[in-house]
Amino acid sequence: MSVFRIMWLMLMFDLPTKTKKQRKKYHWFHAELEKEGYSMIQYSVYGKIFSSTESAKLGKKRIKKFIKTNIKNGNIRILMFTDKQFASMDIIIGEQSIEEKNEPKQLLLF
Amino acid sequence: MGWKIIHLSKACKIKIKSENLLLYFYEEKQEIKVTIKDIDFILFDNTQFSITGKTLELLAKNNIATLFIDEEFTPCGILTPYFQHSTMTEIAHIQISLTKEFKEKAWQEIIKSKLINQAKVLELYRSSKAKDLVKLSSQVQIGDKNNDEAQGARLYWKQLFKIPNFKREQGATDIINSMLNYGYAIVRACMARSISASGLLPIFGIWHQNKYNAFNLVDDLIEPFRAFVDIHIKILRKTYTHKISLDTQLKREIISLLNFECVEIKGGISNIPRAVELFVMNYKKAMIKDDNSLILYPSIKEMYFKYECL
Repeated sequence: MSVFRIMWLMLMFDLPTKTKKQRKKYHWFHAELEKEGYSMIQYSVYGKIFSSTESAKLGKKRIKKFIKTNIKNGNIRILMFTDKQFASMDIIIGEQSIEEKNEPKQLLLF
Repeated sequence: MGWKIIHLSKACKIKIKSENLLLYFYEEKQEIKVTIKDIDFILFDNTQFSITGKTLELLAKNNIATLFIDEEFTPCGILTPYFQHSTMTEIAHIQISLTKEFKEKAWQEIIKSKLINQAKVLELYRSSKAKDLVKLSSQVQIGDKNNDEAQGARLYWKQLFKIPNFKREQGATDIINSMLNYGYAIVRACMARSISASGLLPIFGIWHQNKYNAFNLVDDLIEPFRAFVDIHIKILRKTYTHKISLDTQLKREIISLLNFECVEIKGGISNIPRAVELFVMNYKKAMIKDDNSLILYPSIKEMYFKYECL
C-alpha cells in the first residue's frame, strides 16, 4: 500500500481539568478515543491511520459528530495528512513508540 | 474492515485493553497494542500463546479471519463468526433450496475461471501447454461432466514445477506441497471469513457435498483463487531453491501474497482478501436473484507477475 494513500488523522485537544468532574470527563474521553482506534502519540495528541482518503474522511466525520455531542467546552482540533508527511516529522526530543512505528505497516510480524 | 495482517510466531499472551488487541511477549517483556479495527487477518503460527475469551469475542465480532496452527505447523482451525448477518435465516433457506441448474452452471463457470487462471500462470512462464488449458476451459460442460478440472490439473502440475512424478497432495510433506498447502489454507481462511460474514452457511456447497466437511462452500468458491497461490509459490521457489522445509521466513513470504494488488475483478484491481469478499458478495447476489451471470470471477493481473517470472 502506497505511503501516499495511507492517511493520518491527528486529533489535538485541551480539556479543562480543574474540577474532579472535568478530570473524569477527560479520562472518559481518552478511553473513548482508544476504543475508536486512536492511539496516543503524546499527551493530548492522538493519531489514527486509515488505508485511504475516503475512509479517513469518513473517520473524521464520525469523530467530529462524537465530539460535538459529548464535549461542551475545551479546544479540539483535527488534521488530516498522508503517511509520507507523517514520516517526515522531525522528533527533536524523545522517541517514537512501537505502536507508532507499527501503524503504517501492512504486515505485522511478531 | 481492516487492512493489516498479523503473523504471530513468538510466545505471547493476547488480551483486550479498551477494545484493542494487546500483545504481551514473554521473551522481550514487551507490550504492543494493535487497533482491532485495522486488522484483517491473524495467523497464529505457534501453539505457545494464551488468549482471553473477550479477545475471541472481538475477533469474531470484527470479522477478522483467524487461523490456528497445530503442533506440526499445519493450519488446523478457522474462527468463523456466526449470527452477524440480519437476514441469515432467509439466506440459509435460499441456499438449501438452490436449483440443480444453478449449482451446475455455477460450478461450470468456476472451473472455467480456474482453468483460465491456470492457463495464465503457464502463459507467464511461456509454457506451450497454456493453449491447451485455454482450449480445455472453453469446452467445460455444465456441472463439469467431462471432468475437465482433473484433466487440466494433470497438464498443469506437470508443466508448472517441471518435476518428474510431482503429485499434488493435501497430506504430502515435500516442500512444494507443504508451501502450497500453507498458501491455500491462508486463502481458505479469508474465504471462510467472507462467507460467514455475508450470512452464507459454509456447509451447503455447490459441488462439494462431503458429509464430513463443514466448509463445502468454501472449497467450491476457492477454486479460481488457487492459481494466485501457485504462481506466488513458483516465484518464491526461485529465490529459496535450497530450502527443504517450511520455516518462519518462508511462511512470512507466503502470507505476503495477501498484500499484493494482483487480482483483476469487477474492472478494478484489488488484493486477495478484498477480491474474495467481492466474489462472495456477488455469488450471494446471484444466488438470491437466481441469475448466474451476476457472479464476477477473479483473474490474474499479468503485469504484476510479469517481471518476476522471467
